[in-house]
Amino acid sequence: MAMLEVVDLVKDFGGIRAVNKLSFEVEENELLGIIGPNGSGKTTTINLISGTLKPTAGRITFEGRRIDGLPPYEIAKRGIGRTFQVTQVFRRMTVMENMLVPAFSTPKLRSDGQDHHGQRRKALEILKFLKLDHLRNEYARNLSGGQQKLLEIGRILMLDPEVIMLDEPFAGVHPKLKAEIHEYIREMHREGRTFIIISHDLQTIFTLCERLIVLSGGEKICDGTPQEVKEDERVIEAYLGE
Amino acid sequence: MAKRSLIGSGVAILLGLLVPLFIKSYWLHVSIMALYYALLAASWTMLAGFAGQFSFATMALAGISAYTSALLVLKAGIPIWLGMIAGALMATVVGLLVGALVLRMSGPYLALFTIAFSEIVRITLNAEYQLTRGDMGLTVPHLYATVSKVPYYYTILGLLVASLVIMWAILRSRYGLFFRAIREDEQAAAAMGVNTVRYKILAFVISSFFAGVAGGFFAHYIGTLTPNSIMEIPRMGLVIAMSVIGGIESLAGAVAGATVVEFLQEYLRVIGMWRFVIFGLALVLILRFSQNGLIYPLYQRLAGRRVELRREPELELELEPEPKPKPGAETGT
Amino acid sequence: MEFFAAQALNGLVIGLLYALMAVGLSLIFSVLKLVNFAHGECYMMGAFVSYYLATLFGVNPILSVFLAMIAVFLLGAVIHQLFLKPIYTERVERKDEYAILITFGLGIFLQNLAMSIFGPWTKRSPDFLPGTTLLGFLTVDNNRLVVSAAAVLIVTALLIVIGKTFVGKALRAVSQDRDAAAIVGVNSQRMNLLAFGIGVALAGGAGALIGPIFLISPVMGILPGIKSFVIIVLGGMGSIKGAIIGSLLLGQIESLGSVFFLDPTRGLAYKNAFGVLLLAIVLLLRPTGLFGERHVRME
Repeated sequence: MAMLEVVDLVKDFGGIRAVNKLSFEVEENELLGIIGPNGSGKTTTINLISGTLKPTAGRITFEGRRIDGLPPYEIAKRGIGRTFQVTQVFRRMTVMENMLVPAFSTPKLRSDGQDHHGQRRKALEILKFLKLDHLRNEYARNLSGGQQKLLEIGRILMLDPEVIMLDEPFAGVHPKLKAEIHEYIREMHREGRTFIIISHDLQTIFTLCERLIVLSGGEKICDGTPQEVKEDERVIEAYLGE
Repeated sequence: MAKRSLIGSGVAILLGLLVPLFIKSYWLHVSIMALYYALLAASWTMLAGFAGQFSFATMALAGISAYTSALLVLKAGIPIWLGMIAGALMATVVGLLVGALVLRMSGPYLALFTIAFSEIVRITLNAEYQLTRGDMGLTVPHLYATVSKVPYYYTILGLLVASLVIMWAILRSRYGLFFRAIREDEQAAAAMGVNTVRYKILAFVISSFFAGVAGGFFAHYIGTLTPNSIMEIPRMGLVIAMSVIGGIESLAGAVAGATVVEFLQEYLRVIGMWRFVIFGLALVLILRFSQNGLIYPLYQRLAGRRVELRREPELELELEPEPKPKPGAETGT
Repeated sequence: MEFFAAQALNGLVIGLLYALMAVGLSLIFSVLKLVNFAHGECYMMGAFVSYYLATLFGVNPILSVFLAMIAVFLLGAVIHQLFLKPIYTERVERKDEYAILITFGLGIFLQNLAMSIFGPWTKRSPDFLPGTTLLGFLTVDNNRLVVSAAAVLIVTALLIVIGKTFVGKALRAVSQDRDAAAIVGVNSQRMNLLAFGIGVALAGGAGALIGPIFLISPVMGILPGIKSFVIIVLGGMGSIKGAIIGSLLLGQIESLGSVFFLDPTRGLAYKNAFGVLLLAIVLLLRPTGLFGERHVRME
């Protein structure tokens, strides 16, 4: 059974159907990319999986148990973490405090058995990994946009999630940082985590992901390797119009 | 705790203890009212400034506690201290209800609902005049038999200090972290695993309890109770003004704001209603130019720190003991 | 029978005045996306300006109403420029909080200002038209006739402006999509100013109109303010039609509802609670109101 299963997912906003009977599966340790033109339902899908939005219809199963309809904090505790398209760090809290919120909100499901000192040590380790440790007492709002993106990733890592969903991690980021993020993702992937990444940056996504799902108008129009996707007629049409 | 704050608090408490030696009768009454408002302002600060729930129900909850205590003592003859506890508990239960009802509301909707709630309570208490004597005033037994105000002063001082210690401990703990995260960005907090439902209700419960404590004291100190004297909307506005002027994100600010405003409003009695005009103007001007308030942010700036939330380099977390790792436990799954 | 008809008529007049206030509040919410917690106080200011124009300066009472509306419009403009503009020029963090606190604070300020300048006592404005008129089997006093006519006139004029004129279109554009409106050349700052000014002017007009019918006082705005909140939530924030329907409904509920209480004092005392209770219930069931748009966060 796949780790994450999405079956016939539907989301309506009033009269608008943002996601229309979407189905796909994500295997453990996959690096999945979701792409598609603006308004195709990518972020909505992430919101549905993470619990930020409730589906109108459909099923989402994670590790064999249904998670659709659960509140977002429940889903986060079960091991699915996500970032936001526009970074939503806790601006008037320090970097360290940002890291500790997820640390203290999750009881020790994963039996690290760490006490609060342990959690702070873990936070520092993650910050070091992301090269943010020197900023740990800085207010998050004073960080640069790129640093805030990294902080968001660091925050999720405190949850120790099996699945990490990144919403536009490369948007508005200068090339050097982009390469760094690319490398961080690779490394976390090597550790065994599963990734779902939304991005408009087709170049980076094509090199990073082994498998891509293409959405258009709330529907899945293609599901395959980057090569397959590049050559798919419907994909070309969706991106270029008529 | 940072040494500076510890010394500051100690000095403040010491000064507080000495007040009745230097201040008599009328101004002692003012001091008592200042401490009463400080407790209310602090409870509102915790709910709004820390947890981001801008509720207008605080005074109504204090009033519910006041009437509960007063009526239980009058009709059921229970001792006053028990009445005050019952009042505080009643306020807590109602506060929990309100918190649960407003879970899906934010911003102006929450404000409107709590204003509506507050008015419903006030109107009901006025309308049921057979029970509450409404606008004519309910005569409430005094807490102490003596005429002197000194025991009242120490009572409210004790209640305030105890309440502040508890609130401070909560806010320093991970609960405080969660509150602030919820205020900063509720959606992100939930995505980080913070049970926003539980903690928003918790914020209401705690805040309501302390509002109830204040209300119970008020009833048995003043001795006369009318719905308007305790819970009309402008009075809620006064408490909010105190919190904002003192510094919306600081318990010490709430106390400072309440003290300053209460003393000023007595001092300025000579100019009549104009003193409230000045406070109203001060409130909007401060909000406009210094959104986090006046007194505490000013103190932070003068003390050389940045004008931000006070930062806690050390986080105290022991509200729940962490489980000990079992020997030979596996790491990961 | 006569009694009920009289009550219903009263309810209609009150409903029309509520409509003026609620439409103003709704307009402000549509365009600026904020709830004006000082709306009741703007209503009160309109009442007092009109009162003093009529009594101190001998201006014709009906003319005073319109002059008062202009005065309140100017007041609204000043408030907007000083306190609300920063929300939209990105000078304010936590916009939702700020909007609530600052309008609430302004309301308290205006209330106390009125109490200090005008005194806390109630006053009665001079009649628009003394005497009464016979309508079928009912005797209606002429003030109420004038009020009803004026209210209908003003709301109709507003609906025409919003529906047909260019300014109206601009206002609607900003209320739907601020950025898109900017792209087509609409100055959203100016529209904010206009919407806020007109919105509070409507409330001021309601206050001025109610002068001869009920007593005016500095605290007269609190309950009507809350009721206009009730109405726009009931009708749906941002829906002007909903505001009108909701207002007329509330007017009837209040007038006829208190009749059904056995104890008349109790009934009267609870009269004001109906609207508030309704507000609470509606907010619980539909946190975004019955007909209106979803609450749009400001950031």
